[in-house]
Amino acid sequence: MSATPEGQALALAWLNRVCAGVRRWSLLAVAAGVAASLAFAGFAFAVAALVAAWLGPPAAPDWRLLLLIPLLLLLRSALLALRDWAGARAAVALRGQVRGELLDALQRLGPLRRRAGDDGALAALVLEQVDALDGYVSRYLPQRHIAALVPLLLMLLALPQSWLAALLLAVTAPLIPVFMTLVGWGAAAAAQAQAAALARLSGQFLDLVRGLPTLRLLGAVERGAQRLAATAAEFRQRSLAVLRLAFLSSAVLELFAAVSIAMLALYLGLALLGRIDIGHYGRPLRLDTALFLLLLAPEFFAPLRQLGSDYHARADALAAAEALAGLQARAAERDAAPASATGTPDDSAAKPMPMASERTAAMPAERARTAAADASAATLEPAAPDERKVQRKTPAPDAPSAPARAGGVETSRYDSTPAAAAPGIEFDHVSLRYPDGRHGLYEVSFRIGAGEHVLLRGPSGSGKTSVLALLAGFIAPTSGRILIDGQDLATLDRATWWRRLGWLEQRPEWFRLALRDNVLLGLERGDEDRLWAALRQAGLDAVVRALPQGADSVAGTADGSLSGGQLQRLALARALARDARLWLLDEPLAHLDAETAQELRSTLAAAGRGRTVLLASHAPAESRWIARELRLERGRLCHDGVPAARQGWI
Amino acid sequence: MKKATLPQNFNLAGLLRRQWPRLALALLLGSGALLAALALLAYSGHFITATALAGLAAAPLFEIFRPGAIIRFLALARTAGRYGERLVAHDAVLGLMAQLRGELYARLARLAPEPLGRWSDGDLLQRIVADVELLTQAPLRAALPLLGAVLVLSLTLAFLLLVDAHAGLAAALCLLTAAVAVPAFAARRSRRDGAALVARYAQRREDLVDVLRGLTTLLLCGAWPQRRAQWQRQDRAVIRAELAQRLRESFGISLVVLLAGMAAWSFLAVARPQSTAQAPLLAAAVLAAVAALEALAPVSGALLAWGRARAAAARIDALLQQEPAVHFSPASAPVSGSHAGAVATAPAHSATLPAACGAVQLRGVRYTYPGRRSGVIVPDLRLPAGGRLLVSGPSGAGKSTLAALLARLMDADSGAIELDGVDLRDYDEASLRQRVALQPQRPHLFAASLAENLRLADPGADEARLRAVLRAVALEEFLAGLPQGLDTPIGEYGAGLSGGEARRLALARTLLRPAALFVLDEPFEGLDESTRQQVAAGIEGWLAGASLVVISHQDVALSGSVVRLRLSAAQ
Repeated sequence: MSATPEGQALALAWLNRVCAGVRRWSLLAVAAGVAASLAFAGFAFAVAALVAAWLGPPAAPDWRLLLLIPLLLLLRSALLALRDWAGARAAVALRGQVRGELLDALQRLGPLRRRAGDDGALAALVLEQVDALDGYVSRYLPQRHIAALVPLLLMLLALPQSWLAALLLAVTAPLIPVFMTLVGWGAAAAAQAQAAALARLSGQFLDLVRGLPTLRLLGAVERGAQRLAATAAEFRQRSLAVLRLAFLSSAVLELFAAVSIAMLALYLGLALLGRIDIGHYGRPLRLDTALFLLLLAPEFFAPLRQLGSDYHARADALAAAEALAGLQARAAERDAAPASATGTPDDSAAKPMPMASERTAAMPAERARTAAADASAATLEPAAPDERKVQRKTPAPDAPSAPARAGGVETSRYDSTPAAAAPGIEFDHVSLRYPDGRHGLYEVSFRIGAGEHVLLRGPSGSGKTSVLALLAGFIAPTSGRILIDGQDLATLDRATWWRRLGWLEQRPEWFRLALRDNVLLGLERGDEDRLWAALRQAGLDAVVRALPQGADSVAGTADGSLSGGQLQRLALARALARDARLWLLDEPLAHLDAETAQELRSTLAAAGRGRTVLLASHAPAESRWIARELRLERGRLCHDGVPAARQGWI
Repeated sequence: MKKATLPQNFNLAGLLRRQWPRLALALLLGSGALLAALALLAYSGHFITATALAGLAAAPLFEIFRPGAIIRFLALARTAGRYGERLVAHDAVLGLMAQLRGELYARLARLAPEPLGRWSDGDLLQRIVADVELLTQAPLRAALPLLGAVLVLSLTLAFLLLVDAHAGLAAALCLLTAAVAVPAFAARRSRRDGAALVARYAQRREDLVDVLRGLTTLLLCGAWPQRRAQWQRQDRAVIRAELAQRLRESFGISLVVLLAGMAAWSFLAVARPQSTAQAPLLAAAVLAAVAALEALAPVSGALLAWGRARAAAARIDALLQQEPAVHFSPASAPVSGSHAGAVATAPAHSATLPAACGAVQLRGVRYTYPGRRSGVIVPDLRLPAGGRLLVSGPSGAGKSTLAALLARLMDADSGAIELDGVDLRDYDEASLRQRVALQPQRPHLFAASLAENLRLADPGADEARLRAVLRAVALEEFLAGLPQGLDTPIGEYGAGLSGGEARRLALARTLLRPAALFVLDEPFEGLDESTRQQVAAGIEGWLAGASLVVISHQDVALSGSVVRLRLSAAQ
């Protein structure tokens, strides 16, 4: 959260952009708010007339006025509720829209989202930061207009009664913009400082609590507490100094409101006594007029005071906008080629194989068969390729689960057909440059044949993960081409391409779902054969059977049902169940003990037959399975051939 | 040491009591400001009506100085009161925040690492950040507006009744309905809805974290659109519930506005001045009823905020009510002044602890995972002072469990672990931590400078010592590449460092402990062959005479006589 002017300007521009979509609700809120003030003016008029009647001869009060008051009050209440409702609706619409955009951005980032923060931080971005926009849209935006319109209208109402009274209000009217900036300055500075420091405090608190196990082991729990207390005390002192100033600005507004009522009251009193005879057009001032004018005064200042107290919403929203716009910019930077070729990723997910026919025409006959099978796999009945090991129980693809539209995303469930044959890969002078100018990859070229098993080796930071992310289409190369079976990856439909990929990371991804659903993710839930075949191949079937609830146990480490290595096997089982033909493995064995790793390695070797496998690791390869090694050093390919060392660990 | 007796339950009233002098002052100032605002309008009405009366009677000697002074005073009092209230109330909230966090931290410390580790990150984040913030705001958003409204309302009612008993009664009926019946109705709903909403917030976050954790997989499996849509549906449902609650709130406010206006109206309809001389006072009463609105408007919103704060307090309470996995015997000396759970009653044996030399003896140690059928059976073994123990075994065999047992993060179900001839359970926490240093599998790096992170382990370490320990874990080159050197800030969770660097940095921190027994859980993970050898040699060089337990799935060359222990999964 930087308070730089450019950052502020960017945040403001971003806010204006996202708020444009809800302008209609805001206008409704403004109209209702202004009308409510006018209803109050009517109420004030009737009250003044009834009170003034007490000075006359004793009589029953005017029944028309008595009837008018409840009606106007009812109208005013209804209008106020309408104002709040319209504002709230605007905020609801905006939050939905922004959350959708953020999920798009995260989706575009894919595995690279980790660079934007851990999942907890990202969740906070999607939840709290978006909620922080609420007050700005629901209250501040309409109130800004109401605060400009209502004083003007009330002044116009006062003018025919007494120009001096109108003038007394009007003296403050030119000051209103001054007030608004004044209030703005102080409140903005305060809110910003407050929000920034608060966020820092929250961050520190969370950091310390997360680190509690470590602190306890280091015998430093007390030091953590001291640190917490010290920053809290410092924050308190500093923010009080800021607040003293900030509240002063709203106190000035409060003072003007009070003083103008006081001045108005004194003027009206003197005029009624006849000691002042200017300001009411030579007519004698009447009590009902005077009371009406007096009652208008608080209402004149009410919207401004409301704006002052809503002003923090603006600062909150600006701070949030900066963070949100930052994530979106990051995603735009990394926007992947397949997305730019076929529109937004949403569109590409919705379109099944848009270019299948072109591809077929452009490809050699042998590959065309593959593509056709691929295309039918995506849209129609499976073509049942011969290499399938896992037999499916039900012949129909998972079509009955009808695609549901939500947030502009087509929800087409992944169908359970295998994705044709293993693909061949070619990197043609691929470079990847980060926005800061550093090269992630530099002129990398290699070819991997269909069904080949290749080790991608290099120290951490050498670009292994970038190669995998490029292949998966999460990033686009800055220059150069990536060819899949001779076809530029940039022109492939992303969703279709993803179906052919199996992805295993160092930390396996798993879900708080039943083990069954973790393995059959995107596949038909009840496919027992497929489930157990995959679990067996991944070496997990015995473990799962031993669990009290079998395949219906919920996956997770928290309750200790599965260890880290077992979760990795779970991820492998998922790739096996989907029969993915290109495996991208990012240090999948790094967390495992020697024995488990060895077992899993033979599993991989056996199951990897007939698939193209790219295994990224900093360690040398194990010979029997992997026959080729690509070595990366600082983003450059420096070795391509047989593995340098034939013994060791993956 | 009296701080050890923290309040057993976590509730809102107790929370407010902690800052009561400031909050009481804020209440006084705030109500004063409200009353001044109300009196300003009412007295102005009185003044105008009186002057009109005098004008009609053509009384030439109407004294205006006193009314003028009163009106000016009220205007200033209103401003000053409001300013003072805001300042004092915010000061109280800031103080409360500091207290609350400190207290929560101290109480959570007892629960680390278990059972604290059982909460997911998302849930913990919700409880300790969002809920604490909700709680801290409770006085400002809920308590002060409510109490202020009650105070001002009673005074207004008394005034109305004094002016005209009949008309006052009618107006009082409206005002009381506005102040009591409507908010009470809103409160009844909000208590239920507030709790439900807070629970739904937590569920929503949990599900979002779950979806985000597996984003890549979901994308590749084609399950992302469905899971995303599912989460967005959930989000929309939460927002709808929130919207419904806000609509009820604004409906309540509208109703209050209506009723406050009706109070003025009923007064107008019923009041019959006996003489015109009574008119100014009646006018003042009518205007007071109109102005009472300002004090009443925040009432229903405040009740909703109260409901939310109560739900937040309940959730935090649920977290704090957990039983820690391990109870330490009392501290021998007040090493850590206000350490939670430490009661200073110097036990006799503490002075008689043997010299720390790191000899370990395990006898019949068994541990069964809660809720699981499997567990760990550790063979009996003896590690002499200065010895080396290498623990291996397949994943799930209980290697990390053994490490946790050695550092007494948990207790074995049966059997005994002795350190230097004394059962681990007989050590107080400070003495044990002094003797045993554990490098956990996932150490935490704090958002602080490199040096600060290291000095957590050894506050007195000078720069030379820090550089030396970094050399031991092969981070010398890494350090040389940092422009700010040891002062380089490390982001949250070690951001800015690679996984290997972060692990080695944490390892360096563990090595800085003045322990006699070092337990390192997978210290070489993610390191390439040559770095691994370098680090292994560095560790051994650093330790000198201390004992070392290394848990590793990789073979490590350790010097001297190495005891090897292979664990296998047990039933």
